[in-house]
Amino acid sequence: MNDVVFISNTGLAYTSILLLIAAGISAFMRLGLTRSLLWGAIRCVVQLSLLGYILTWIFAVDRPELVALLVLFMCVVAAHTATRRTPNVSSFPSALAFISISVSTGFVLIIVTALVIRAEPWYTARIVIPIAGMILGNTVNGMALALDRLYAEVKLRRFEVEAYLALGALPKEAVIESMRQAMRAGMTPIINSLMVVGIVSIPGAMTGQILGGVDPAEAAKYQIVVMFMIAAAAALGSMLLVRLAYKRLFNADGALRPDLWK
Amino acid sequence: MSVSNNSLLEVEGLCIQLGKARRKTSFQLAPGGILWIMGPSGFGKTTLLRTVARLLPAECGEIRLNGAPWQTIPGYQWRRRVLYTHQKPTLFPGSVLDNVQAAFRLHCRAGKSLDLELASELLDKLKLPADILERDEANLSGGEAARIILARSILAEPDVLLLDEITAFLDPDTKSIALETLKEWALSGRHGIIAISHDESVRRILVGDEIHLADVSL
Repeated sequence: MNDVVFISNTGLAYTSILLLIAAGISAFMRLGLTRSLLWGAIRCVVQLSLLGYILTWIFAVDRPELVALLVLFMCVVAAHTATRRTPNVSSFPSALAFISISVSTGFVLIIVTALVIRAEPWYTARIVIPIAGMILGNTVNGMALALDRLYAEVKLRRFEVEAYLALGALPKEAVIESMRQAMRAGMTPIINSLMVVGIVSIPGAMTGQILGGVDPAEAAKYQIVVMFMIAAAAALGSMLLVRLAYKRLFNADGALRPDLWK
Repeated sequence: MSVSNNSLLEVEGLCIQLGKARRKTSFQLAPGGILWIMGPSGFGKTTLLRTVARLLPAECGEIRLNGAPWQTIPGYQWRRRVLYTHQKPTLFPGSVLDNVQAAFRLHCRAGKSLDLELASELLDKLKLPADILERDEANLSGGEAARIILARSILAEPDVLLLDEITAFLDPDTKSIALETLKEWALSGRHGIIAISHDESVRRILVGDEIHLADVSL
């Protein structure tokens, strides 16, 4: 089977009707979102078109260093995004998020490409880049939730945390329950997705493959791989980020930072 | 700088930062001693206790425990030996037994375990029923919670107990029992107590030296 459903340029132009519906609702309800919506739409078209051209070039060149550079760049943007979606956290260094994201993504990526898909070579651009994109796109949200929840929990439990510290607890011992809650928060979206996938939602990757002419049964196998790798990356990424982040809640003496009491 | 050989805790020129104001204070606590920190509300009594416990950073000054400067002892080891009890009774989720055992699950007491007989004796002395160990902390009254915290603190075997309004949640009967228990604990050996309380009856029972924060240098 290879009946790819192509979209003509005229067809693509018709999608602006969908955007106009969204903009119309925003204007009618005076949501003040029309400008953001249009700016978002322009960015979407430009970013995705550029991505299409860049990927075409990278796939043609297929050099490992170029693939690594692009994946690292994607990790930098993901780390920046993860640390900006955290209302309970003030000024968290995106370098720590970058370490967590790049290690977890890299680890899962190598397992999937080398053992599951068995690409030859394992760094084949056509395989590595879309998979890295799927891992990052789906774990960033979980990691942002984990980081935000860690700070929120420690602030909420500050009396309990300080009671542990007063008994001689190490910082990690004092916040271990908050760390567990943070990791639960980070993993909840993927666990929910695992529950409803195929019933409530047909994920983008599978939809894309089916539209691209792949046998739905084969697309389902790919989707299982995708779901499991996202689960692994979310767990690994949340754990690394929470372990790197908790130390920032304490001063050099191992006491809770005074600003957390405000 | 002189070091008194018989001091359990020595505080010298310790800064307490209160907004823009800064106070300096010095005092000594002997083994078996009880000290009262006096002063009106907002004068930094709690801040002083939290600084001595190293839960707040000391901007200047020196604190020594058995002659050892605070810089030579890691923060968590210091807090194990200089134990601060918050004025708001905070129990950990779980049973009362989980609470009194909590200190013994920490790295700083690795290899040690709670003496259950001693714990039962202490709870009995504090007029808490024998079956309280199995009860969940969520089902305790404010007075029971305050006494459990007192027991948890004593059983953790600190050198110095820093008590911040410890009797605020106790009725007159349990208050005098708790205070007598504390006094006995302090006088029994190498321990010491530094306390804050607005309650005059507390001072009558736990007779000790007094430090008036209003008199300390600014």
